[in-house]
Amino acid sequence: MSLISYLRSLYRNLVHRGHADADLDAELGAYIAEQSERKRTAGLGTASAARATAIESGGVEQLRHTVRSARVGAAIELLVQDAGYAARRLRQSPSTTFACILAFAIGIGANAAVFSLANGLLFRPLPVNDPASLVYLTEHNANSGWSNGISRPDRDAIRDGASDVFSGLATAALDEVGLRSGVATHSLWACYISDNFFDVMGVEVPGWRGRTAGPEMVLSFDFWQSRFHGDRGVVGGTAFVDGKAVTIVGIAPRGFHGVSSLFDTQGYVSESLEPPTQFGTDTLSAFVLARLRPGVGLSQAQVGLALIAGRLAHAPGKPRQGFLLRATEDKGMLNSSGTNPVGAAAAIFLGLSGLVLLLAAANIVNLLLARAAARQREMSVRAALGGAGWRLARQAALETAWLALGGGLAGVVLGSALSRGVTKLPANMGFPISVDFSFDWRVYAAAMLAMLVMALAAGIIPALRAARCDPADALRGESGASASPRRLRLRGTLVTLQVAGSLALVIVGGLFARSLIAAQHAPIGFDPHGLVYVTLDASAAGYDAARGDQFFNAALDRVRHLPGVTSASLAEIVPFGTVSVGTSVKAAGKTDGAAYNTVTPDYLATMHIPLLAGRFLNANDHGGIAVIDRAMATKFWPAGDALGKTFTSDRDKTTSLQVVGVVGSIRTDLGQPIQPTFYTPFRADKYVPVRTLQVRGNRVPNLTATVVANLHALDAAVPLDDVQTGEESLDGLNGLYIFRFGARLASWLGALGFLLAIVGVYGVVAYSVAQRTREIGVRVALGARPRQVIGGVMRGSVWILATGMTLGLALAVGIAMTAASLLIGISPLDPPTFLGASLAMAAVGLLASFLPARRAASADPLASLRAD
Amino acid sequence: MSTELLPGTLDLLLLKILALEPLHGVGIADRLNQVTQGTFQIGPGSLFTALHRMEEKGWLSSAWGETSAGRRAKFYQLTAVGRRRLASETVRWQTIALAMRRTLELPQ
Repeated sequence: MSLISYLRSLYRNLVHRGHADADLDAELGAYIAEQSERKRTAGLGTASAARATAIESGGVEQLRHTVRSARVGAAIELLVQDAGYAARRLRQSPSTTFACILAFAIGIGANAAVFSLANGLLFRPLPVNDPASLVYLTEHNANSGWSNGISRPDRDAIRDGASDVFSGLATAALDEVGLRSGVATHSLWACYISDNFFDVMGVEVPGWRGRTAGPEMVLSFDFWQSRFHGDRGVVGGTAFVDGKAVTIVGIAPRGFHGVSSLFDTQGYVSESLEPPTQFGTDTLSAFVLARLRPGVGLSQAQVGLALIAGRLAHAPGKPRQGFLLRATEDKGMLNSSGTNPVGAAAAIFLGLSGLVLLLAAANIVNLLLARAAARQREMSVRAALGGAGWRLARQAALETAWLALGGGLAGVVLGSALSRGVTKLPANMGFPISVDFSFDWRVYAAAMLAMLVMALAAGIIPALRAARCDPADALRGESGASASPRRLRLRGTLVTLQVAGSLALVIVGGLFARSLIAAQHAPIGFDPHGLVYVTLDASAAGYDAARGDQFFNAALDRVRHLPGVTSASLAEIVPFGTVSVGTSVKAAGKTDGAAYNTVTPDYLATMHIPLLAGRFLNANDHGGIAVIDRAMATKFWPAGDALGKTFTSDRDKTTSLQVVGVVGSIRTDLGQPIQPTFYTPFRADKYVPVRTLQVRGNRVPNLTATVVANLHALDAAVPLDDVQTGEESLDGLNGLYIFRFGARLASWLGALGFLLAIVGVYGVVAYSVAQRTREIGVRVALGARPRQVIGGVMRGSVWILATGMTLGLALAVGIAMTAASLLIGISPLDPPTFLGASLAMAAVGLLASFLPARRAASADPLASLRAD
Repeated sequence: MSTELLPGTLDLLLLKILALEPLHGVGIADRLNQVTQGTFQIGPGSLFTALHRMEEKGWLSSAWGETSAGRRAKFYQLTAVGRRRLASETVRWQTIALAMRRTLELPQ
């Protein structure tokens, strides 16, 4: 048949269906009329002529139906009809429908949101060519536990010694620099890169020539867009990086953001311009990236590195104990070694959201099973009246499809709200991050599909079974299948599991919320309130050591005399900042790792760190002495006699340091245990070009603005970075960020789990009460008191609650132990949380079963008896 | 002798009957009965289902008109597509019929 006439007929039959039907009726009517007219003329009476015609043609209605169902589009018409019927059926039981849609929305929305977050943080590979064969090399000291950058000689040794496993080795040292182009100076995070950096990364940057040319610079696409508004005229021009001239030779490809998945590198500069780092000329504070040769795996690379590390560790004249080299793959935040709060958090939250998905699915299956049982009789009647099995199944599938459609739409709204709410948290990172938290549609589709399959199975299988079973049984009211103990037991088990999962979610949510509160009030060893931090980068202004020292002294002097300022100091490292430094310490016959900081004498007074013994640094100290914290004192001199003792560190092996004082320990990272720490004074011969200013001015309005204005007035050439209050600094990645993130996400998931448990318990108890209407009626008619009826109904749900909660407690203990590293300030088995959540779950569960029980008990027994 | 229609023959019969002149339902049934001398009788269910199907395929077109008895009825007539269809179906049927006859006339 030609397509055009098919479509024309389809259009007529579907869109102008009324007209087509009327036309058909008229045509058939005319036919019947003419036939019976003939019979009448042949001698029959009017009535018997009409009857004879009707019998001959098999009934007018039947005739219409026959012709209509052969028309083009009849199948579609039927489907639309069934879908309409399905929607009407759903409207008849609004509470079940609402509960199903809610469960769909929660299951899909929560998972899409959590997966989008985890994906952004962990799994998005670097936007480079073949990211899987790119590895990071680091040095480790097995004795101190600290990781270092790789020194230049070591890097060269690896490049020459491991050329059989690595096809290329590139370095990229991250630094915050000042870029002067024209009159404007921009502060940006740039990498000093080796010539082959772009080759090893597998990224095309036309214009980058490397060694042959003078100092070159490449801007990231985003930085070029935001600061230079995509002006192509920038390329080829001369600019100044920390005062040194470079040629801007090109723009990196869009989406390429450097050496780490998370860090947004804004520019790339030839390594010839790299200033000596604060860790000495020998050490690269750099990412060392290596490209694996084709066919070489990570484990082979480790073997190759171990061989070289062994050779380097036993090099004549310079033995290194515990020296290791490691290659790691880029895994976003999972990349850093040791305990990683973000990785652990992501694993926990993926698990929790999986649990929400299971709970939601169990809920839907349960509701649909209850619904199917309640409609057993309708299905049997339809089957008895000749309803085709496939059509009954399709009916059930259509209802499920409506639910999935509604739930899916609600899930998008919920999911995007959830992920927006979590990512809106202020992340005080101190550096530009590049995280794509965008709503992941693939995850959304996968979650939707999983739920849909389960829901369809729960909807269709009972319908098919109803169509198959003996209609006579069902019609007699013996409704065998619906009351079958097996199916009731299945639903009871599902609710038990729901209670278990929900209780676990609520407990974990409560643990994270309480941990956040504990973290906010955790003793950190210093007082962040009333502090302002400003990081000053003298190298960005192009200053040498003498000019830099002069500037830092002038800056300290100026802010110290501001009105309301009680104290001010300078330090190399700021607690909860983005940088921490450590070294290996030898003292009292022991070798262990320790963190260190270089500070001015006022540091202790400014930070409000208590002096425990001896004295703190003073203006006359220049070298050979150190102040240690309580943790370091306890570690090396447990007898409490640290004062006057000496130690050496890998930082400067030739100078031994004498302990002149012991101070309180401070936390620098909420996710890590306290590090033993020592403090040394700034020395003229060990210039530190980047220092952070701490200013304490309790109850001074606009202290931050005043400090910033004064520093600008002093020297506008030095860029001010990371201007923040003490409280703000606590919100960083090492501080409360991860706890806020975790608390918010976990408590939302807990709330969703709670909601699902209420819906599940209420739904099943209400249904089983409805099933027992007749039995309860008989009991009441025979004199049972309402209390006895309620007790009888609730006994079953108390059992479900009790077993579910026992399982849930066990599950919660398991999750809490896994999440222990993320929970600070409280025990993972925090009794108030476990008790509170259990009580809340028990109360809500009992209430959810009490309500339908009371309704059943107060019902008129006569009405109940007649109900079936 | 009244007999069941062979599958696929109804379309051809209807096309042939309507090729002579436009007819309405009763007229078509009468004509079929008449030309096959009562061999084929068709009920309204099959008749109208076939007519509507053929119209949807574009072989027939229909219009309301008046019967000889002065009643309103829907008349069907062949379209150009229907005429081509009739020609090709006729050829096909004659081929089949010839083959059948030859087979049946084979000596025992």
